[in-house]
Amino acid sequence: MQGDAHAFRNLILKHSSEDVGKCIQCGKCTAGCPLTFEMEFMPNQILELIRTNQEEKVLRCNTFWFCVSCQTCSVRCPENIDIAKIMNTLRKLNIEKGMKPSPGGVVTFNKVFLDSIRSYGRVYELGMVMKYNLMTGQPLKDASFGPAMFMKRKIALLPHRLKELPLIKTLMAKSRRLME
Amino acid sequence: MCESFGVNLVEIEDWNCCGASPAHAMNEELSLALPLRNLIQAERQHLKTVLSPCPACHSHMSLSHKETEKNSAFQERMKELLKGEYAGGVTLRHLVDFLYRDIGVEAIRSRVTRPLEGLKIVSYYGCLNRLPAIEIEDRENPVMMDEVIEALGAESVDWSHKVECCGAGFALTKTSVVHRLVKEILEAAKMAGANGIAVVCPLCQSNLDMRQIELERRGEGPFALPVVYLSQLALLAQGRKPEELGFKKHLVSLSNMLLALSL
Repeated sequence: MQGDAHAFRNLILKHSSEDVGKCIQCGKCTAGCPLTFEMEFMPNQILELIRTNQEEKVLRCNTFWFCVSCQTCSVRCPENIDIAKIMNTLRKLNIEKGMKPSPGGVVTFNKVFLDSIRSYGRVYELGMVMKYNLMTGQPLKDASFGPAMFMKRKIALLPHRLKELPLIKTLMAKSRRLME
Repeated sequence: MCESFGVNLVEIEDWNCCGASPAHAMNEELSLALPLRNLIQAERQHLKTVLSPCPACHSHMSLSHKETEKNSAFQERMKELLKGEYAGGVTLRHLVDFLYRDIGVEAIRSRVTRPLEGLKIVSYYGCLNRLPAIEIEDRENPVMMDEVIEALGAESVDWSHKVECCGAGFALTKTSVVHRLVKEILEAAKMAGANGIAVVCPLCQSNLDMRQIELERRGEGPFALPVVYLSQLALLAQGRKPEELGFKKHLVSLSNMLLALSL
């Protein structure tokens, strides 16, 4: 609804079941976050921006892309707000609305990772890493570890394909980004 | 290691990737359906417990398990997507839970034939202690791993970074973040006087081991801190030969640690 002062707060509530209205701005989430040095807005600021309906500002910032889902904020929140879950919802809303792409090629990586599951049912590490590095213009990243990874049999040369792969493919085609 | 405690492990047939962080960040239904398929497969094999070595796999399966329990609309939708039904009869355990609660510290101690005397180990839990699916007595200062390490005869060293984040899924996309976080952790371990770091998560192992080499190459070391799984330490204390324990797969050499044990 246009002009609804609580629109963004309610959108977040709908998709994550978390209500930012409970936030008391104590700052514990920010104090415990290991990634604040990369973030445009601090986690507690994000909650305040959602509460005050500043959707554009939130969905265009880099904060949720730098959330590593370690859950420190969620565990420490005295109001039991699952802040990491809100960050996850923000990532999906950003993609859904076609907003500014993620820094560091995170979405590219995610897509390449999921492509691997679509093709094999599991992650084919070698193929995935090479594809991601090529797509992000850094073909030789981590290449120096390649020989050791093979010699030590940490990664396989060839992929393994699931028997029930058709089921995985259908699942990936039909599943919905956001649940209500 | 499980065998040494009389537990036989079987693999879930045709298991699939749980989708990890990418599914979690991109597609909610997928992030619940992928782990659920593994649970359906487990039930088809009449397995009662699913043991995960990875905290994230464990956590994702637990989320799907709980959602099935409480949400019938979700159940219906998953039936349609997965062409199968999960009855909810599987108990989920992470390896550290399993060791600490199901096997028990006393049983672990009773199997020790070569106490790891001389080893000073820091327990690194990372974000594992914050995943809701794992039962932990104190999320700010967990001691499960510490108690196991003491039972193995090694000294468990108290330190500042046992629950700090290693950068986890940013390993490939934001490697500079991982470098920064890993460096803080390694420096803290070194400051505590440890000659090894114990882990129970494959991603912690990989980040701390591989990026440690890289930091050293860039002249930001030296650390020389082997990053070993709790299971490897348990078997070492049971008298198993180092060659049998996969130490050759590590990037950071274990020679100093084994030297401290006169091995």
